[in-house]
Amino acid sequence: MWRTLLNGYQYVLLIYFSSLNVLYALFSCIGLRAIVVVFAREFSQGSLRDLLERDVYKPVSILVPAHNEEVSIVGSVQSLLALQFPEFEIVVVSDGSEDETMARLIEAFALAEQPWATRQDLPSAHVRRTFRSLTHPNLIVVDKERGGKADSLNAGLNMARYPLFAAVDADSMLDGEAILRASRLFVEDETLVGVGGTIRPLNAAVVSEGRVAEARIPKKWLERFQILEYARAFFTGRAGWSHFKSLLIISGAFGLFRRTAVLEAGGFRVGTVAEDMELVVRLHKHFLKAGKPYNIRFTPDPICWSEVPSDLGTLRRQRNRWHRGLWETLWLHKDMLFNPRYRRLGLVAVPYFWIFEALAPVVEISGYLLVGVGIFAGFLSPRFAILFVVLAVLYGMLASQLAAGIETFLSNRYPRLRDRAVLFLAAFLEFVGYRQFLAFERTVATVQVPFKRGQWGKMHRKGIRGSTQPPDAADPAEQEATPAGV
Amino acid sequence: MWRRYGDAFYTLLTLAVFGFETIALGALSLSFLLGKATGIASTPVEGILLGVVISTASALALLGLYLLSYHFVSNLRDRWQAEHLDKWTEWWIGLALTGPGEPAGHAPDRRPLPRVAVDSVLSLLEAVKGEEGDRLKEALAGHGVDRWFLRRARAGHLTARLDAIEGLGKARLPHALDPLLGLFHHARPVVRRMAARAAAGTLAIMAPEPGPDGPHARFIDAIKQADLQPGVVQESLLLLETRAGPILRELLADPELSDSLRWVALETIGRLGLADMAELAAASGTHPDPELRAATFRCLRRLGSVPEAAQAPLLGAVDDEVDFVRVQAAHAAAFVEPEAALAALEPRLEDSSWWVRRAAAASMARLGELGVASVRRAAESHPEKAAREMAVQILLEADVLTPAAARLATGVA
Amino acid sequence: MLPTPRLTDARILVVDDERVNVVLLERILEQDGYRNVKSLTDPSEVVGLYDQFEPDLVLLDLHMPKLDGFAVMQQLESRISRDTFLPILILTADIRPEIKRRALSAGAKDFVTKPFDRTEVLLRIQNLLETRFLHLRVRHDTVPEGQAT
Repeated sequence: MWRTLLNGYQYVLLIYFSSLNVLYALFSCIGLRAIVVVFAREFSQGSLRDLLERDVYKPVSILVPAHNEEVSIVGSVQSLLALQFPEFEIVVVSDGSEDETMARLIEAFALAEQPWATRQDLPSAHVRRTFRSLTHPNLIVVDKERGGKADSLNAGLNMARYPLFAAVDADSMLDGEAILRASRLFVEDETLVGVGGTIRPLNAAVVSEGRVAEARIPKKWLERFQILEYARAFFTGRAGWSHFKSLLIISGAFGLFRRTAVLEAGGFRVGTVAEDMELVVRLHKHFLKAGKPYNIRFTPDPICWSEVPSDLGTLRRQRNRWHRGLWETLWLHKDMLFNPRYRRLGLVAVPYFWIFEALAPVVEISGYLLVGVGIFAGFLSPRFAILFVVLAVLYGMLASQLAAGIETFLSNRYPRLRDRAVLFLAAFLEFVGYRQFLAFERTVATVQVPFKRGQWGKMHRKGIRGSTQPPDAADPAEQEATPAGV
Repeated sequence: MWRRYGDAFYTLLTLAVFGFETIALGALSLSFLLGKATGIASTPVEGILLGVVISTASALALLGLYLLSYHFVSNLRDRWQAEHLDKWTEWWIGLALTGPGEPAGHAPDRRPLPRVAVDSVLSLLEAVKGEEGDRLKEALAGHGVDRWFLRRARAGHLTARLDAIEGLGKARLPHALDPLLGLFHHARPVVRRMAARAAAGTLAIMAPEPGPDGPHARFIDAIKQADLQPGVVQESLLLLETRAGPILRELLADPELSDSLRWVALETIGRLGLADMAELAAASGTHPDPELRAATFRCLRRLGSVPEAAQAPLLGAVDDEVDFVRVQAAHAAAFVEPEAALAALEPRLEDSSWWVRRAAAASMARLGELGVASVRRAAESHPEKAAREMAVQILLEADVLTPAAARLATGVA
Repeated sequence: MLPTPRLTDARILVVDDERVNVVLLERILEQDGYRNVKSLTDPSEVVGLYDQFEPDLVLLDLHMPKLDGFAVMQQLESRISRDTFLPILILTADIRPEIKRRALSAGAKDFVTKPFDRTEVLLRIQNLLETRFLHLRVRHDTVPEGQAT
């Protein structure tokens, strides 16, 4: 009896493994080809500058939710103020910070408290005070009671006055042209509602004048592995999904959205740990249900640098949170699973995420267990088991190698040979412990999902329409600011 | 940012590797299932498994090797290119400044030019025009570069095509215009987009030729018939630089112009600051489509002038039924005679839309002393709280009120 | 009385992040007889070089990464004394009218869009240099004898 079950499970594992890798391969190649190669041609440096010099952009509101970020907030805001973009505003929302965050901001940017005539397009926690900077008129700071990141973003949206907004983490560092590159896509494509860029680990990078001058490989292997992970996730994963118009995730560290579209969909959902993914899924749902043409894309171009965990504890907690967030989002929108009403998303993307992303760590751990049990119980030849594990590991390395390879074509990343060699080595070492460790943690997260739901019960109402814009209207925020020189 | 060589081969390589792996995995799965189902010993399966493991390891080694060698090769190549770019740049400049035949160049006449040389001359063409520019273009033609580009633009692999279109856009060769216009109907949006930009850039330096068969007319026809997003059309019109004026006039003169193109034309007039077209633009102020009405007022606001005939409709539009039209009309009202404008704007301070209230207050503040006084009055004594708040906000932003005074005015501690 | 210097002795500084543009301008100036031309592709070095080189004319690009033309003009303004006339000629591909206005009010004395016509640029340079040298002469002449250094 046991034997049949175990045998059956072996089949399942093998099919699972094969399908996963085949799909992965498919996406990698498509991602590499379709998005990266073509995109690079179309947006060469020259053409970008041309269009900037002819006013082809839409102004952007950059929302920066911050909770107890006294250490890095001033630097981050300074870095944002130095962005190369003709017209933008920065809205920093302090989410009930109890440390020196507000004090440091007030001092660094000569903030003056002032009453603000706000809109209430979205509900949010109580806003205590609002400030404008006397030295930088495009900087606004909001001191709000604690409500979480999603709540802060909603509060920021209430203050935003431009047709596009970027949701940025307080410790992200944007590439100088990130906003420029991302926003021009909205000019060209009226149906675009959201764009995700690439996140790269900031650790060990050489930073000068608030910009990343050169990327370097950090000393810790933990951080090195994460470089590869991010490369894989973005260049092959998201690029591929974006090509099929089924992108489900835009990273919270940097995403650019059309304000009216997000308001239509109801803003950010409070009470989930993955509000970034949840928003994107909900945007898809909203527009598919409404039958309106829309587009959500990933582009490899806009770069955001973010500090990644450098110690096991922080990494564990982060991955645990991410995986729980994934489950929460998928569960919240479980009505999309295999639902033909949501076309590609319902029939391909969402099932993929259930089976090959959410359940993957569980399957992986069970695979290892099975191999162990099998060898012990004697029905699995050790040779076979070991070969199988080796194959799995090699295949994973292949995937990593692909991602590391794409890096080499980005001519200003990790230019030194030593760094390249280290990345190459990391592609191998990643699978000797690191991957398994994360798989374990994510399995734990899966088990914890029903217990650590946070405010699972209190769901944010969808379709909040306190705003005064009729649907399908041109955004009255268009050209809100006065033209230069007037 | 992105290296343009070696990536195609890499793609092919990975495609081959993964294709092979997929087949191998398929074979493995099949044999495993068959083996278990029919009770055959696991040895053949193990054999296949071993085979797959070895092939995967080899693929890994192959890819790794390619990347490492690419690193070396690309370093060398980059350095080589930089050196040669400098040399070619000097040679081209010499050619441009003194005419052919003079400088001791190292380029024999008819041999196809290396990519570096082409890039170099295209960069120069972005910097210099006139006689010198013409000499460079002649040199390009002499080496057959234009023909090479045109061939690849018309019928080539996608990435080659895009490269060629980009090159034509920079070279701005008059005889490339028609082929580019032809690409406006290509199936792929990215090709259409780039062709539109390149065509506009080319047209920008051509002398205007009136008449239904001139380049302007052909461009306009192509734009009207092509399936291009409004944003792309706008980009192209903006790239027309000084030629934009006459083309916009022709577009707006067409009574059957699509609403979408009319909208684009209005946006472009505003962005290019073509004040002499204000009257022509203002005619759309009474268009049935609210988006176009809004675009008209936005245009007038950017131009900073509202023609006489358009003033009454504009002030009427401050009361339009559609909110975003009211917003744009309110903004543009700042350029109308102050008393009439104030009369129209004051009631809007209590509009239901935040955006309209803001636009009204902002415009009032721009109408000189009379306007600022009105806003002050509203801040102090308007019956509606929202109106008072907005008035205070605008006065703050205009630096008429200090933050402290503002807090006092709105009763915030 | 200060002897009239030849225009071609003027010290000209070229600032543009594109190497191609810099070399082009250098050769154009060279061909026209100017011998004292220095160039920079890194705008952050302008102020440092200004003190050493003391240019009579600056050819400046507007859109450069890190530090744009406006920032450079601001830096120079704080460096040069009030009665110095330093002509700055902007060379840029940006055709927007408000940029032109902004540049001309930020300290630029002339504005040329790219692609430019060689002859036109040379004539404009000549005019600016003539004005500069006239200014220098007048300033020299109006300084009382005993205080001339």
